[in-house]
Amino acid sequence: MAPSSSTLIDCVDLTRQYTLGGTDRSWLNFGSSEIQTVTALNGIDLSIERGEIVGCAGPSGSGKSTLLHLLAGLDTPTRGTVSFDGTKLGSLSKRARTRHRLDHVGIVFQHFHLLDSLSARANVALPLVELGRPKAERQQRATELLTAMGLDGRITHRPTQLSGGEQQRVAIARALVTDPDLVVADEPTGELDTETGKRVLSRFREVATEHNAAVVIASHDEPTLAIADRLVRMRDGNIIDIEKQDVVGETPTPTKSAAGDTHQTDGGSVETPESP
Amino acid sequence: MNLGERLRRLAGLVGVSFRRTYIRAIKTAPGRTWLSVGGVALAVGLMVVVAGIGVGIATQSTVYGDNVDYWITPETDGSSSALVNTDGPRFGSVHPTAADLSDRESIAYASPVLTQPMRVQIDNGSAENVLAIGIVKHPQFSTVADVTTEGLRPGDPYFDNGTWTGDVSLSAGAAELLAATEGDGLTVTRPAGAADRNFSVTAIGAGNTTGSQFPIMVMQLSELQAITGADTNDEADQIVVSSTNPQIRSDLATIYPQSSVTTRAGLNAQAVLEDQLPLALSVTAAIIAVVIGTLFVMTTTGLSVASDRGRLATLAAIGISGSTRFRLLAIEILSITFVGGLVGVGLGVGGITLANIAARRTITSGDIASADPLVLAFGVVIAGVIGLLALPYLAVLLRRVGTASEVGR
Repeated sequence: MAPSSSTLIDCVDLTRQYTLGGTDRSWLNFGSSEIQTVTALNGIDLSIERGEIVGCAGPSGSGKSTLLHLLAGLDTPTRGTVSFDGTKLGSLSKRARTRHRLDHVGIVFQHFHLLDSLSARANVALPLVELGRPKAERQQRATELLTAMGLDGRITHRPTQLSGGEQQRVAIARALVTDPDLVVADEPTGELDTETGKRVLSRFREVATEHNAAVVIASHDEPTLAIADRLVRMRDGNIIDIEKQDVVGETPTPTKSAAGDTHQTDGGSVETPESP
Repeated sequence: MNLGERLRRLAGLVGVSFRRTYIRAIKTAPGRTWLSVGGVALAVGLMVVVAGIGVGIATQSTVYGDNVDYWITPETDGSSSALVNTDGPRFGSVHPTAADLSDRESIAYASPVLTQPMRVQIDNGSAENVLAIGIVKHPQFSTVADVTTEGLRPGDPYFDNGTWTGDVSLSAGAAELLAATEGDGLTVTRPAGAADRNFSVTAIGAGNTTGSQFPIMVMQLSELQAITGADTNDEADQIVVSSTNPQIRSDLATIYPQSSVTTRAGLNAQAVLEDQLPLALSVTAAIIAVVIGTLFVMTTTGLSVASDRGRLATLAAIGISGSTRFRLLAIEILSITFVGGLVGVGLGVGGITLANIAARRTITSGDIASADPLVLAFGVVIAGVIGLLALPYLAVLLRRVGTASEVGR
């Protein structure tokens, strides 16, 4: 099926298998292969439109994170294709895929993955350094996003001086700093309290509607997934159901996590490294 | 990406890299960071001490430690061995040439230097061989080859007005060899048929430097010329010039055809290169320093990349290119080795000082090692080489960092 003009991503027969044990030693065993493979994604077909929010639901091990990695170009499929605006990501070199992610993709990791030696602002501005943007522009853009995330008082703090929820919001700001065409978010509200979670989800909606970007969210939290225009339910590497959701009224309220948004600092002196 | 964007990216990268290094050094990984600095510092420090001893040995036979900045020598003559090389070509008409140079505003003084081994005898003493050095005395030209010139009258009276002074300054080594004291008469043995010339000892060096241990006597240039036959063409082996103006070097080179001008730093380097033992010492020390330092930095780089795998994979995941990640860590490594180099130079200077103190208390009355600026600069350069040699290993390590597998954890 040829992608329509508003189709951003088109996945066809998307399959990802992993090898257990890591190394193929069959040549040592004179042909008797001991390789075990695990199928994380099993031939799925999925199209994602611009301006659309897609939710991915399913138990752990269902293939949600693998799907997100393939959509973002972090990984390549064992079989099948991911076409991004007509470009097959699997055909790109590693270097080209890295550049593709910089230009087109914003990623929110489940475990934040911030650089602990840089301030919140420097973390957010990092992709803009790679793009060669002027320092003033980098700092202004990062500050705007952090302020929009309710972190205006924490801009010069390092990740170790921020709570889990604050780190999550810094990670989200970093994902949005380049105005990406695609945002993939793995459990984006997992560390956030109810109010902050709502704010983040409404930001995702803004990104989808105002910037015409696609947003793909993987979560276990049904209220978070309620923001999605379509909900993809997965199990054992297969899509078992795709629901179209009517999203009306105000942003849904995500379930408050057990961790909450408790402020945790390292108690040390506050270092204020500047933005890059 | 245009040039402006590339420069902005590089500037941003340097900023991020310095910040990361600083925070790692004081907060997140101080042990590993300072271990790297210490490893490089130790290697460079040892190299500076050994190279300093090499330079110290090499420069003991030169006109070293005087208030002299430039040496003009015939091209076929080794300037560092000028004091003992008397068979090479010499300059002529040296008195008027030196006088012209001394008249220039940028030059404090200039003096021809003539050297000649001679057999001399104190009255009622035995004849001994010493090295005679003839100069034109200037108040600021206070020592030559570590021997005082205080016993000589200013200028060169025998050349200027035919007044024979007979003044001689002896090194401590010469005074001991000849059993001479100030005021003693001294006779220079000359070829058969030539009349002996009489001199008197007007000063004896203190003997607190290594050079002063050699048997050297310093006298007026024209008087040495007269007893060696070098007065016919007004000859000298070299001309020394005292000036702080670096611009005059090219002017000095044009005074005599086929001459070369050596600076104080150049003379030390030349001395090391011409003397095989100090050269071997310095090269061996540099190789050992590079090997030890590089292995140290490579080990700590390996540990650093292993603990940073997640962060490096994150950088890749958010679109930071492989070359940028490499540059980021390369700047960190070079910063650390540079700091290590500076600390090492400091350690080396301390080591040289200790070596000289130890030498003075045990084997010699002078310094055996020299904290020459070239040696110190060499220490920093070696630190840079250590950093550069560790970079290919960094590139290999970075290629082994996976993206998806790391950020998925």
